[in-house]
Amino acid sequence: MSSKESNQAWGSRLGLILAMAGSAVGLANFLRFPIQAVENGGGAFLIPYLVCFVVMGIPLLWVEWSVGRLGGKSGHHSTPFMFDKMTKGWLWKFTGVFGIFTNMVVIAYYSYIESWSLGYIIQTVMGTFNGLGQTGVAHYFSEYTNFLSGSFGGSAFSLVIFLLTLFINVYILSKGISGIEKVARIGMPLLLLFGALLAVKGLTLGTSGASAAVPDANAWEGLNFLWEVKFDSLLDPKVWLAAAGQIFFTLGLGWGFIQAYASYVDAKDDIALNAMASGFTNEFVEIVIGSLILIPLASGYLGLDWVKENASFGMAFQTMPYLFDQLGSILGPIAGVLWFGLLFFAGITSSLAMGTPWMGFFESKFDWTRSKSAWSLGLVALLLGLPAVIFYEYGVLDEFDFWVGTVSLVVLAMIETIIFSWVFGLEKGWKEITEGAEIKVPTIFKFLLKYITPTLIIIVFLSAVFTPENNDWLGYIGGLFQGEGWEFDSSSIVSKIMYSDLHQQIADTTDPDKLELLKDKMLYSKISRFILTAAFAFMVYLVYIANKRMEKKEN
Amino acid sequence: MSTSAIITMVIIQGTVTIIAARIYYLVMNPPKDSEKPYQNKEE
Repeated sequence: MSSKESNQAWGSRLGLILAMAGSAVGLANFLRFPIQAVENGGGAFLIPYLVCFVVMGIPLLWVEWSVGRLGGKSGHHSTPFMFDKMTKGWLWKFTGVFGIFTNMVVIAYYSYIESWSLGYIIQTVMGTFNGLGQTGVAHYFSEYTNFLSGSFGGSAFSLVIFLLTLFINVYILSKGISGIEKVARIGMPLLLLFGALLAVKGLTLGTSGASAAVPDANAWEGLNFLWEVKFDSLLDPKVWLAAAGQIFFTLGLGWGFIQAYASYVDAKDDIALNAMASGFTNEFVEIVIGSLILIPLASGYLGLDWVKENASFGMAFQTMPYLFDQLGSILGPIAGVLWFGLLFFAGITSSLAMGTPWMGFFESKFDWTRSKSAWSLGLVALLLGLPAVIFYEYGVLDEFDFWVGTVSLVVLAMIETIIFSWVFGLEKGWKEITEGAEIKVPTIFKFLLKYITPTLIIIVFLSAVFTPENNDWLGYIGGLFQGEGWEFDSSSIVSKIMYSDLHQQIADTTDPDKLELLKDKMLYSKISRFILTAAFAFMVYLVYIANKRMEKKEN
Repeated sequence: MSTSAIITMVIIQGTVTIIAARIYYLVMNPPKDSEKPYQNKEE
Protein backbone atom coordinates (compact mmCIF):
# COMPACT_ATOMS: atom_id res chain seq x y z
CA MET A 1 0.00 0.00 0.00
CA SER A 2 1.47 3.35 -0.90
CA SER A 3 1.42 6.31 1.43
CA LYS A 4 -0.63 9.40 0.70
CA GLU A 5 2.62 11.26 -0.05
CA SER A 6 3.61 8.78 -2.74
CA ASN A 7 0.27 9.08 -4.55
CA GLN A 8 1.63 11.84 -6.72
CA ALA A 9 1.44 12.22 -10.46
CA TRP A 10 2.91 14.40 -13.19
CA GLY A 11 0.76 17.44 -13.92
CA SER A 12 1.29 17.35 -17.67
CA ARG A 13 2.97 15.27 -20.31
CA LEU A 14 5.28 18.09 -21.34
CA GLY A 15 6.29 18.58 -17.72
CA LEU A 16 7.15 14.89 -17.44
CA ILE A 17 9.20 14.91 -20.65
CA LEU A 18 11.05 18.11 -19.71
CA ALA A 19 11.79 16.72 -16.23
CA MET A 20 13.06 13.45 -17.72
CA ALA A 21 15.11 15.30 -20.30
CA GLY A 22 16.38 17.63 -17.61
CA SER A 23 17.45 14.70 -15.47
CA ALA A 24 19.67 13.55 -18.33
CA VAL A 25 20.87 16.93 -19.60
CA GLY A 26 23.79 17.93 -17.43
CA LEU A 27 27.33 19.11 -17.47
CA ALA A 28 28.32 16.09 -19.55
CA ASN A 29 26.33 17.34 -22.54
CA PHE A 30 28.41 20.49 -22.77
CA LEU A 31 31.73 19.26 -21.47
CA ARG A 32 32.15 15.52 -21.80
CA PHE A 33 30.66 14.98 -25.27
CA PRO A 34 32.78 17.46 -27.23
CA ILE A 35 35.94 16.25 -25.52
CA GLN A 36 35.08 12.59 -26.15
CA ALA A 37 34.43 13.40 -29.81
CA VAL A 38 37.71 15.28 -30.17
CA GLU A 39 39.63 12.39 -28.58
CA ASN A 40 37.90 9.67 -30.60
CA GLY A 41 37.87 10.52 -34.26
CA GLY A 42 35.93 13.76 -34.51
CA GLY A 43 32.96 13.47 -36.85
CA ALA A 44 33.54 9.72 -37.16
CA PHE A 45 32.79 9.37 -33.42
CA LEU A 46 29.16 10.12 -34.24
CA ILE A 47 28.89 6.80 -36.08
CA PRO A 48 29.56 4.52 -33.08
CA TYR A 49 27.80 7.08 -30.89
CA LEU A 50 24.56 6.94 -32.87
CA VAL A 51 24.78 3.15 -33.28
CA CYS A 52 25.11 2.81 -29.49
CA PHE A 53 22.22 5.24 -29.03
CA VAL A 54 19.97 3.00 -31.13
CA VAL A 55 21.07 -0.44 -29.86
CA MET A 56 21.75 0.44 -26.23
CA GLY A 57 20.43 3.90 -25.35
CA ILE A 58 16.86 3.67 -26.60
CA PRO A 59 16.29 0.07 -25.44
CA LEU A 60 17.62 0.90 -21.98
CA LEU A 61 15.41 3.98 -21.80
CA TRP A 62 12.40 1.79 -22.55
CA VAL A 63 13.53 -0.75 -19.96
CA GLU A 64 13.93 1.89 -17.26
CA TRP A 65 10.66 3.67 -18.02
CA SER A 66 8.85 0.30 -18.03
CA VAL A 67 10.43 -0.87 -14.79
CA GLY A 68 9.43 2.43 -13.21
CA ARG A 69 5.82 2.51 -14.38
CA LEU A 70 5.37 -1.15 -13.47
CA GLY A 71 6.71 -0.52 -9.98
CA GLY A 72 4.55 2.56 -9.61
CA LYS A 73 1.41 0.50 -10.23
CA SER A 74 2.15 -1.23 -6.91
CA GLY A 75 3.25 1.90 -5.08
CA HIS A 76 6.99 1.29 -5.48
CA HIS A 77 8.97 4.41 -6.30
CA SER A 78 12.54 3.15 -6.11
CA THR A 79 14.37 0.23 -7.68
CA PRO A 80 14.71 -2.25 -4.78
CA PHE A 81 11.02 -3.14 -4.68
CA MET A 82 10.56 -2.59 -8.41
CA PHE A 83 13.07 -5.42 -8.94
CA ASP A 84 11.39 -7.40 -6.19
CA LYS A 85 8.06 -7.14 -8.01
CA MET A 86 9.60 -8.42 -11.25
CA THR A 87 11.38 -11.41 -9.75
CA LYS A 88 10.96 -14.32 -7.39
CA GLY A 89 13.42 -14.77 -4.57
CA TRP A 90 14.46 -12.44 -1.79
CA LEU A 91 17.86 -11.39 -3.13
CA TRP A 92 16.92 -9.29 -6.14
CA LYS A 93 15.57 -6.39 -4.12
CA PHE A 94 19.01 -5.84 -2.63
CA THR A 95 20.56 -5.47 -6.08
CA GLY A 96 18.14 -2.60 -6.53
CA VAL A 97 19.89 -0.77 -3.67
CA PHE A 98 22.26 0.63 -6.28
CA GLY A 99 19.33 2.66 -7.60
CA ILE A 100 19.11 4.62 -4.34
CA PHE A 101 22.75 4.43 -3.19
CA THR A 102 24.12 5.94 -6.40
CA ASN A 103 21.85 8.95 -6.22
CA MET A 104 22.31 9.44 -2.48
CA VAL A 105 26.09 9.71 -2.86
CA VAL A 106 26.29 11.52 -6.17
CA ILE A 107 23.81 14.23 -5.18
CA ALA A 108 26.22 15.08 -2.36
CA TYR A 109 29.08 16.09 -4.62
CA TYR A 110 27.08 16.87 -7.74
CA SER A 111 25.23 19.61 -5.87
CA TYR A 112 28.66 20.98 -4.93
CA ILE A 113 29.67 21.20 -8.61
CA GLU A 114 26.22 22.62 -9.36
CA SER A 115 26.88 25.25 -6.68
CA TRP A 116 30.01 26.32 -8.57
CA SER A 117 27.71 27.36 -11.41
CA LEU A 118 25.59 29.45 -9.06
CA GLY A 119 28.65 30.94 -7.40
CA TYR A 120 30.19 31.78 -10.75
CA ILE A 121 26.97 33.50 -11.91
CA ILE A 122 27.26 35.76 -8.88
CA GLN A 123 30.98 36.35 -9.37
CA THR A 124 30.43 37.12 -13.07
CA VAL A 125 27.80 39.73 -12.23
CA MET A 126 30.14 41.19 -9.60
CA GLY A 127 32.88 41.52 -12.23
CA THR A 128 35.35 39.24 -10.44
CA PHE A 129 36.74 37.88 -13.69
CA ASN A 130 37.13 41.24 -15.45
CA GLY A 131 40.72 41.62 -16.58
CA LEU A 132 41.85 38.68 -14.46
CA GLY A 133 43.65 36.95 -17.32
CA GLN A 134 43.85 33.25 -18.08
CA THR A 135 46.17 32.40 -15.19
CA GLY A 136 44.17 34.51 -12.78
CA VAL A 137 40.92 32.76 -13.69
CA ALA A 138 42.51 29.33 -13.20
CA HIS A 139 44.00 30.47 -9.88
CA TYR A 140 40.59 31.76 -8.75
CA PHE A 141 39.12 28.29 -9.30
CA SER A 142 41.91 26.78 -7.26
CA GLU A 143 41.18 29.21 -4.40
CA TYR A 144 37.45 28.56 -4.79
CA THR A 145 37.78 24.80 -4.32
CA ASN A 146 40.78 24.25 -2.06
CA PHE A 147 39.71 24.75 1.53
CA LEU A 148 42.86 23.42 3.01
CA SER A 149 45.60 25.12 1.03
CA GLY A 150 43.80 28.11 -0.46
CA SER A 151 42.95 31.42 1.18
CA PHE A 152 39.79 31.05 3.21
CA GLY A 153 37.93 33.90 1.51
CA GLY A 154 37.25 32.19 -1.80
CA SER A 155 36.37 28.88 -0.32
CA ALA A 156 34.16 30.35 2.42
CA PHE A 157 31.97 31.83 -0.30
CA SER A 158 32.05 28.46 -2.07
CA LEU A 159 30.86 26.71 1.09
CA VAL A 160 28.01 29.18 1.62
CA ILE A 161 26.83 28.76 -1.98
CA PHE A 162 27.05 24.96 -1.61
CA LEU A 163 24.79 25.12 1.45
CA LEU A 164 22.42 27.44 -0.43
CA THR A 165 22.31 25.05 -3.40
CA LEU A 166 21.58 22.10 -1.12
CA PHE A 167 18.83 24.10 0.52
CA ILE A 168 17.28 24.98 -2.86
CA ASN A 169 17.30 21.30 -3.85
CA VAL A 170 15.79 20.18 -0.53
CA TYR A 171 13.10 22.87 -0.70
CA ILE A 172 12.04 21.92 -4.22
CA LEU A 173 12.10 18.20 -3.39
CA SER A 174 9.86 18.87 -0.39
CA LYS A 175 7.25 20.15 -2.84
CA GLY A 176 7.19 16.75 -4.52
CA ILE A 177 6.84 15.90 -8.18
CA SER A 178 4.88 19.09 -8.88
CA GLY A 179 7.81 21.17 -7.58
CA ILE A 180 10.25 19.31 -9.81
CA GLU A 181 7.92 19.73 -12.78
CA LYS A 182 7.73 23.51 -12.25
CA VAL A 183 11.53 23.77 -12.21
CA ALA A 184 11.76 21.68 -15.40
CA ARG A 185 9.13 23.77 -17.21
CA ILE A 186 11.10 26.93 -16.45
CA GLY A 187 14.66 25.65 -16.40
CA MET A 188 14.71 23.56 -19.55
CA PRO A 189 13.41 26.23 -21.96
CA LEU A 190 15.84 28.72 -20.42
CA LEU A 191 18.67 26.20 -20.78
CA LEU A 192 17.77 25.74 -24.44
CA LEU A 193 17.61 29.49 -25.01
CA PHE A 194 20.92 30.19 -23.26
CA GLY A 195 22.54 27.30 -25.10
CA ALA A 196 21.24 28.47 -28.46
CA LEU A 197 22.60 32.00 -27.92
CA LEU A 198 26.04 30.67 -26.96
CA ALA A 199 25.97 28.20 -29.87
CA VAL A 200 25.32 31.05 -32.30
CA LYS A 201 28.39 32.78 -30.88
CA GLY A 202 30.39 29.59 -31.30
CA LEU A 203 29.32 29.28 -34.92
CA THR A 204 29.98 32.89 -35.83
CA LEU A 205 33.13 33.70 -33.81
CA GLY A 206 35.46 32.68 -36.61
CA THR A 207 38.81 34.47 -36.40
CA SER A 208 37.53 37.55 -34.59
CA GLY A 209 38.83 36.21 -31.29
CA ALA A 210 42.44 36.12 -32.44
CA SER A 211 44.84 38.30 -30.47
CA ALA A 212 48.49 39.30 -30.54
CA ALA A 213 49.18 36.44 -28.12
CA VAL A 214 47.28 33.90 -30.25
CA PRO A 215 47.15 35.26 -33.80
CA ASP A 216 46.07 31.92 -35.31
CA ALA A 217 43.08 31.45 -33.04
CA ASN A 218 40.16 30.32 -35.15
CA ALA A 219 36.81 28.98 -33.92
CA TRP A 220 36.14 27.26 -37.25
CA GLU A 221 39.32 25.23 -36.83
CA GLY A 222 37.87 23.92 -33.59
CA LEU A 223 34.60 23.04 -35.31
CA ASN A 224 36.54 21.42 -38.12
CA PHE A 225 38.56 19.32 -35.66
CA LEU A 226 35.36 18.25 -33.93
CA TRP A 227 33.41 17.34 -37.07
CA GLU A 228 36.09 16.24 -39.56
CA VAL A 229 35.49 12.57 -40.18
CA LYS A 230 38.44 10.29 -39.37
CA PHE A 231 37.19 6.91 -40.55
CA ASP A 232 40.24 4.92 -39.43
CA SER A 233 39.26 5.62 -35.82
CA LEU A 234 36.27 3.30 -36.31
CA LEU A 235 38.60 0.30 -36.27
CA ASP A 236 39.74 1.11 -32.73
CA PRO A 237 37.70 -0.66 -30.01
CA LYS A 238 38.55 2.25 -27.70
CA VAL A 239 36.37 4.55 -29.83
CA TRP A 240 33.37 2.21 -29.69
CA LEU A 241 33.77 1.80 -25.95
CA ALA A 242 34.02 5.56 -25.54
CA ALA A 243 30.85 5.98 -27.57
CA ALA A 244 28.99 3.40 -25.50
CA GLY A 245 30.21 5.05 -22.32
CA GLN A 246 29.11 8.49 -23.50
CA ILE A 247 25.61 7.24 -24.41
CA PHE A 248 25.39 5.66 -21.01
CA PHE A 249 26.26 8.78 -19.06
CA THR A 250 24.49 11.28 -21.24
CA LEU A 251 21.09 9.57 -21.06
CA GLY A 252 21.18 9.13 -17.29
CA LEU A 253 20.99 5.33 -17.56
CA GLY A 254 21.71 3.06 -14.62
CA TRP A 255 21.04 5.71 -11.98
CA GLY A 256 17.60 4.72 -10.77
CA PHE A 257 15.97 8.13 -11.20
CA ILE A 258 14.37 7.40 -14.56
CA GLN A 259 12.58 4.50 -12.90
CA ALA A 260 11.61 6.77 -9.98
CA TYR A 261 10.21 9.46 -12.28
CA ALA A 262 8.38 6.88 -14.41
CA SER A 263 6.77 5.38 -11.31
CA TYR A 264 4.53 8.45 -11.18
CA VAL A 265 3.28 7.92 -14.74
CA ASP A 266 -0.29 6.70 -15.02
CA ALA A 267 -0.52 2.97 -15.75
CA LYS A 268 -2.28 3.48 -19.08
CA ASP A 269 -0.17 6.39 -20.35
CA ASP A 270 2.38 6.03 -23.09
CA ILE A 271 6.01 5.52 -22.19
CA ALA A 272 7.45 4.43 -25.56
CA LEU A 273 7.06 7.83 -27.23
CA ASN A 274 7.75 9.74 -24.01
CA ALA A 275 11.05 7.92 -23.56
CA MET A 276 12.03 8.76 -27.15
CA ALA A 277 11.09 12.39 -26.57
CA SER A 278 13.26 12.73 -23.49
CA GLY A 279 16.11 10.83 -25.15
CA PHE A 280 16.07 12.96 -28.28
CA THR A 281 15.82 16.16 -26.27
CA ASN A 282 19.06 15.12 -24.61
CA GLU A 283 20.62 14.31 -27.97
CA PHE A 284 19.54 17.66 -29.40
CA VAL A 285 21.17 19.49 -26.50
CA GLU A 286 24.32 17.37 -26.81
CA ILE A 287 24.89 17.13 -30.55
CA VAL A 288 23.36 20.37 -31.77
CA ILE A 289 23.98 22.82 -28.94
CA GLY A 290 26.71 21.28 -26.78
CA SER A 291 29.07 20.73 -29.69
CA LEU A 292 28.92 24.39 -30.73
CA ILE A 293 30.04 26.01 -27.49
CA LEU A 294 33.13 24.76 -25.65
CA ILE A 295 35.43 23.69 -28.49
CA PRO A 296 34.79 26.56 -30.94
CA LEU A 297 34.87 29.25 -28.25
CA ALA A 298 38.10 27.90 -26.77
CA SER A 299 39.68 27.49 -30.23
CA GLY A 300 38.52 30.94 -31.20
CA TYR A 301 40.45 32.62 -28.39
CA LEU A 302 43.15 30.19 -27.36
CA GLY A 303 43.81 28.32 -30.58
CA LEU A 304 43.24 24.74 -31.58
CA ASP A 305 46.64 23.55 -30.32
CA TRP A 306 45.79 24.76 -26.83
CA VAL A 307 42.42 22.94 -27.00
CA LYS A 308 44.07 19.69 -28.09
CA GLU A 309 46.43 19.80 -25.13
CA ASN A 310 44.12 21.13 -22.46
CA ALA A 311 40.54 20.17 -23.26
CA SER A 312 39.02 18.87 -20.04
CA PHE A 313 36.03 19.08 -17.74
CA GLY A 314 37.77 21.79 -15.73
CA MET A 315 37.67 24.18 -18.67
CA ALA A 316 34.10 25.11 -17.78
CA PHE A 317 35.28 27.04 -14.72
CA GLN A 318 39.02 27.45 -15.24
CA THR A 319 38.98 28.79 -18.77
CA MET A 320 35.52 29.91 -19.91
CA PRO A 321 35.39 33.03 -17.67
CA TYR A 322 38.60 34.22 -19.34
CA LEU A 323 37.12 33.59 -22.81
CA PHE A 324 33.96 35.51 -21.99
CA ASP A 325 36.03 38.40 -20.65
CA GLN A 326 37.44 38.76 -24.17
CA LEU A 327 33.95 39.66 -25.42
CA GLY A 328 34.12 43.03 -23.68
CA SER A 329 32.60 44.68 -20.65
CA ILE A 330 28.96 44.24 -21.76
CA LEU A 331 28.82 41.04 -23.80
CA GLY A 332 31.34 39.31 -21.56
CA PRO A 333 29.24 39.25 -18.36
CA ILE A 334 26.11 38.45 -20.38
CA ALA A 335 27.83 35.45 -21.97
CA GLY A 336 29.18 34.39 -18.58
CA VAL A 337 25.73 34.52 -17.00
CA LEU A 338 24.32 32.56 -19.97
CA TRP A 339 27.01 29.87 -19.67
CA PHE A 340 26.91 29.43 -15.90
CA GLY A 341 23.14 29.83 -15.90
CA LEU A 342 22.93 27.05 -18.45
CA LEU A 343 25.19 24.84 -16.32
CA PHE A 344 23.14 25.61 -13.22
CA PHE A 345 19.83 24.68 -14.87
CA ALA A 346 21.43 21.55 -16.32
CA GLY A 347 22.74 20.73 -12.87
CA ILE A 348 19.63 21.37 -10.81
CA THR A 349 17.30 19.43 -13.09
CA SER A 350 19.70 16.50 -12.68
CA SER A 351 20.19 16.81 -8.92
CA LEU A 352 16.42 16.98 -8.35
CA ALA A 353 16.12 13.72 -10.27
CA MET A 354 18.81 12.21 -8.04
CA GLY A 355 16.76 13.12 -4.98
CA THR A 356 13.64 11.31 -6.20
CA PRO A 357 14.58 7.66 -5.47
CA TRP A 358 15.35 8.52 -1.82
CA MET A 359 12.12 10.51 -1.55
CA GLY A 360 10.09 7.72 -3.14
CA PHE A 361 11.66 5.06 -0.94
CA PHE A 362 11.01 6.78 2.38
CA GLU A 363 7.57 8.11 1.48
CA SER A 364 6.26 4.78 0.24
CA LYS A 365 8.10 2.36 2.53
CA PHE A 366 8.38 4.27 5.81
CA ASP A 367 5.34 6.58 5.41
CA TRP A 368 7.55 9.63 5.82
CA THR A 369 6.21 13.00 4.81
CA ARG A 370 7.72 14.75 1.81
CA SER A 371 9.28 17.31 4.10
CA LYS A 372 10.93 14.71 6.34
CA SER A 373 12.20 12.76 3.33
CA ALA A 374 13.64 15.89 1.72
CA TRP A 375 15.36 17.21 4.84
CA SER A 376 16.80 13.79 5.68
CA LEU A 377 18.26 13.63 2.17
CA GLY A 378 19.68 17.10 2.63
CA LEU A 379 21.35 16.00 5.86
CA VAL A 380 22.81 12.86 4.28
CA ALA A 381 23.98 14.86 1.25
CA LEU A 382 25.66 17.35 3.58
CA LEU A 383 27.38 14.61 5.59
CA LEU A 384 28.64 12.92 2.45
CA GLY A 385 29.26 16.16 0.56
CA LEU A 386 31.38 17.94 3.18
CA PRO A 387 34.30 15.47 2.95
CA ALA A 388 34.15 15.78 -0.85
CA VAL A 389 34.13 19.57 -0.56
CA ILE A 390 36.73 20.08 2.17
CA PHE A 391 39.12 17.37 1.05
CA TYR A 392 38.69 18.06 -2.67
CA GLU A 393 42.47 18.32 -3.25
CA TYR A 394 42.94 14.87 -1.68
CA GLY A 395 40.74 13.28 -4.31
CA VAL A 396 37.70 12.38 -2.19
CA LEU A 397 35.29 13.71 -4.85
CA ASP A 398 37.15 11.80 -7.56
CA GLU A 399 36.96 8.62 -5.50
CA PHE A 400 33.20 8.99 -4.97
CA ASP A 401 32.74 9.82 -8.64
CA PHE A 402 34.65 6.79 -9.87
CA TRP A 403 32.95 4.13 -7.76
CA VAL A 404 29.48 5.60 -7.56
CA GLY A 405 29.20 7.98 -10.49
CA THR A 406 30.79 5.53 -12.92
CA VAL A 407 31.01 1.88 -11.83
CA SER A 408 27.73 1.73 -9.90
CA LEU A 409 25.69 2.93 -12.90
CA VAL A 410 26.92 0.18 -15.17
CA VAL A 411 26.32 -2.43 -12.48
CA LEU A 412 22.68 -1.39 -12.04
CA ALA A 413 22.11 -1.26 -15.80
CA MET A 414 23.60 -4.75 -16.19
CA ILE A 415 21.36 -6.13 -13.44
CA GLU A 416 18.19 -4.49 -14.68
CA THR A 417 18.57 -5.58 -18.31
CA ILE A 418 19.16 -9.16 -17.19
CA ILE A 419 16.12 -8.96 -14.91
CA PHE A 420 13.96 -7.33 -17.60
CA SER A 421 14.87 -9.57 -20.52
CA TRP A 422 15.69 -12.87 -18.83
CA VAL A 423 14.23 -13.10 -15.33
CA PHE A 424 10.98 -11.15 -15.67
CA GLY A 425 10.89 -12.31 -19.27
CA LEU A 426 10.96 -10.36 -22.48
CA GLU A 427 7.37 -11.19 -23.43
CA LYS A 428 6.10 -9.58 -20.24
CA GLY A 429 8.64 -6.80 -20.60
CA TRP A 430 7.55 -6.08 -24.16
CA LYS A 431 3.96 -5.88 -22.99
CA GLU A 432 5.03 -3.27 -20.43
CA ILE A 433 6.83 -1.17 -23.04
CA THR A 434 3.93 -1.27 -25.50
CA GLU A 435 1.09 -0.77 -23.01
CA GLY A 436 -0.47 2.57 -23.89
CA ALA A 437 2.22 3.19 -26.50
CA GLU A 438 1.41 5.86 -29.07
CA ILE A 439 4.01 4.60 -31.53
CA LYS A 440 4.61 1.18 -33.01
CA VAL A 441 7.80 -0.13 -31.45
CA PRO A 442 9.81 -1.98 -34.14
CA THR A 443 9.96 -5.68 -33.27
CA ILE A 444 13.71 -5.71 -34.02
CA PHE A 445 14.04 -4.15 -30.56
CA LYS A 446 12.86 -7.46 -29.05
CA PHE A 447 16.04 -9.06 -30.38
CA LEU A 448 18.12 -6.07 -29.29
CA LEU A 449 16.65 -6.10 -25.79
CA LYS A 450 17.17 -9.82 -25.32
CA TYR A 451 20.66 -10.25 -26.72
CA ILE A 452 22.43 -7.09 -27.88
CA THR A 453 21.75 -4.53 -25.16
CA PRO A 454 22.67 -6.81 -22.23
CA THR A 455 25.76 -8.03 -24.09
CA LEU A 456 26.89 -4.47 -24.82
CA ILE A 457 26.48 -3.42 -21.21
CA ILE A 458 28.42 -6.45 -20.01
CA ILE A 459 31.17 -5.56 -22.51
CA VAL A 460 31.18 -1.94 -21.25
CA PHE A 461 31.50 -3.21 -17.68
CA LEU A 462 34.25 -5.73 -18.41
CA SER A 463 36.13 -3.17 -20.47
CA ALA A 464 36.07 -0.82 -17.48
CA VAL A 465 37.38 -3.62 -15.24
CA PHE A 466 40.23 -4.69 -17.53
CA THR A 467 41.10 -1.50 -19.47
CA PRO A 468 44.54 -2.07 -21.00
CA GLU A 469 47.32 0.49 -20.77
CA ASN A 470 46.61 3.56 -22.93
CA ASN A 471 43.35 1.91 -24.03
CA ASP A 472 45.39 -0.05 -26.55
CA TRP A 473 42.83 -2.84 -26.97
CA LEU A 474 44.07 -3.97 -30.36
CA GLY A 475 47.64 -4.13 -29.17
CA TYR A 476 47.01 -6.08 -25.97
CA ILE A 477 44.42 -8.46 -27.41
CA GLY A 478 46.85 -9.23 -30.22
CA GLY A 479 49.59 -9.65 -27.63
CA LEU A 480 47.50 -12.18 -25.66
CA PHE A 481 47.46 -14.49 -28.66
CA GLN A 482 51.22 -14.28 -28.73
CA GLY A 483 51.50 -15.18 -25.09
CA GLU A 484 52.24 -11.66 -23.91
CA GLY A 485 50.90 -10.22 -20.68
CA TRP A 486 48.23 -7.60 -20.00
CA GLU A 487 49.10 -4.22 -18.51
CA PHE A 488 46.16 -2.49 -16.85
CA ASP A 489 45.56 1.17 -17.48
CA SER A 490 45.48 3.39 -14.38
CA SER A 491 41.78 4.06 -15.11
CA SER A 492 40.84 0.37 -14.98
CA ILE A 493 38.86 -0.93 -12.01
CA VAL A 494 41.59 -3.49 -11.32
CA SER A 495 44.22 -0.75 -11.07
CA LYS A 496 41.98 1.43 -8.95
CA ILE A 497 41.35 -1.39 -6.46
CA MET A 498 45.09 -1.98 -6.16
CA TYR A 499 46.07 1.72 -6.11
CA SER A 500 48.51 0.94 -8.91
CA ASP A 501 48.71 4.53 -10.12
CA LEU A 502 49.31 6.00 -6.67
CA HIS A 503 51.93 3.33 -5.84
CA GLN A 504 53.72 4.15 -9.08
CA GLN A 505 53.64 7.89 -8.41
CA ILE A 506 54.95 7.33 -4.88
CA ALA A 507 57.76 5.16 -6.21
CA ASP A 508 58.65 7.74 -8.88
CA THR A 509 58.58 10.96 -6.87
CA THR A 510 61.61 12.45 -5.12
CA ASP A 511 59.87 15.62 -3.90
CA PRO A 512 59.10 15.18 -0.18
CA ASP A 513 56.04 17.50 -0.32
CA LYS A 514 54.60 15.62 -3.26
CA LEU A 515 55.31 12.30 -1.54
CA GLU A 516 53.42 13.52 1.53
CA LEU A 517 50.45 14.56 -0.62
CA LEU A 518 50.38 11.21 -2.43
CA LYS A 519 50.42 9.27 0.83
CA ASP A 520 47.62 11.49 2.13
CA LYS A 521 45.65 10.86 -1.07
CA MET A 522 45.94 7.14 -0.52
CA LEU A 523 44.73 7.46 3.06
CA TYR A 524 41.78 9.65 2.07
CA SER A 525 40.95 7.24 -0.71
CA LYS A 526 40.76 4.35 1.76
CA ILE A 527 38.57 6.40 4.10
CA SER A 528 36.32 7.32 1.16
CA ARG A 529 35.91 3.67 0.20
CA PHE A 530 35.04 2.83 3.78
CA ILE A 531 32.41 5.59 3.81
CA LEU A 532 30.90 4.32 0.55
CA THR A 533 30.83 0.72 1.77
CA ALA A 534 29.17 1.81 5.01
CA ALA A 535 26.61 3.90 3.10
CA PHE A 536 25.77 0.96 0.83
CA ALA A 537 25.45 -1.41 3.79
CA PHE A 538 23.19 1.12 5.51
CA MET A 539 20.87 1.22 2.47
CA VAL A 540 20.80 -2.59 2.31
CA TYR A 541 19.75 -2.61 5.96
CA LEU A 542 17.00 -0.05 5.31
CA VAL A 543 15.64 -2.15 2.44
CA TYR A 544 15.64 -5.15 4.78
CA ILE A 545 13.67 -3.17 7.37
CA ALA A 546 11.27 -1.86 4.72
CA ASN A 547 10.66 -5.41 3.55
CA LYS A 548 9.87 -6.52 7.10
CA ARG A 549 7.41 -3.64 7.45
CA MET A 550 5.72 -4.60 4.19
CA GLU A 551 5.43 -8.24 5.20
CA LYS A 552 3.94 -7.20 8.54
CA LYS A 553 1.35 -4.99 6.83
CA GLU A 554 0.38 -7.79 4.46
CA ASN A 555 -0.06 -10.18 7.36
CA MET B 1 36.04 24.45 -42.08
CA SER B 2 36.48 21.68 -44.61
CA THR B 3 33.58 20.75 -46.84
CA SER B 4 33.35 17.24 -45.36
CA ALA B 5 33.20 18.63 -41.81
CA ILE B 6 30.46 21.06 -42.76
CA ILE B 7 28.47 18.35 -44.53
CA THR B 8 28.88 15.95 -41.59
CA MET B 9 27.83 18.60 -39.10
CA VAL B 10 24.79 19.71 -41.11
CA ILE B 11 23.59 16.18 -41.84
CA ILE B 12 23.94 14.88 -38.30
CA GLN B 13 22.65 17.96 -36.53
CA GLY B 14 19.88 18.33 -39.07
CA THR B 15 18.80 14.71 -38.70
CA VAL B 16 18.70 14.90 -34.90
CA THR B 17 16.74 18.16 -35.04
CA ILE B 18 14.21 16.80 -37.53
CA ILE B 19 13.67 13.58 -35.57
CA ALA B 20 13.30 15.52 -32.31
CA ALA B 21 10.82 17.91 -33.92
CA ARG B 22 8.83 15.00 -35.35
CA ILE B 23 8.71 13.31 -31.96
CA TYR B 24 7.50 16.48 -30.26
CA TYR B 25 4.86 16.88 -32.96
CA LEU B 26 3.61 13.39 -32.13
CA VAL B 27 3.69 14.19 -28.41
CA MET B 28 1.63 17.34 -28.92
CA ASN B 29 -0.81 15.58 -31.29
CA PRO B 30 -1.37 12.19 -29.66
CA PRO B 31 -3.69 9.63 -31.23
CA LYS B 32 -7.04 8.88 -29.63
CA ASP B 33 -7.05 5.84 -27.36
CA SER B 34 -8.84 3.79 -30.00
CA GLU B 35 -6.16 4.69 -32.57
CA LYS B 36 -3.18 3.66 -30.45
CA PRO B 37 -1.24 0.85 -32.18
CA TYR B 38 -1.54 -1.67 -29.32
CA GLN B 39 -5.00 -0.72 -28.08
CA ASN B 40 -6.98 -3.41 -29.91
CA LYS B 41 -4.56 -6.13 -28.84
CA GLU B 42 -4.94 -5.09 -25.20
CA GLU B 43 -8.72 -5.28 -25.50
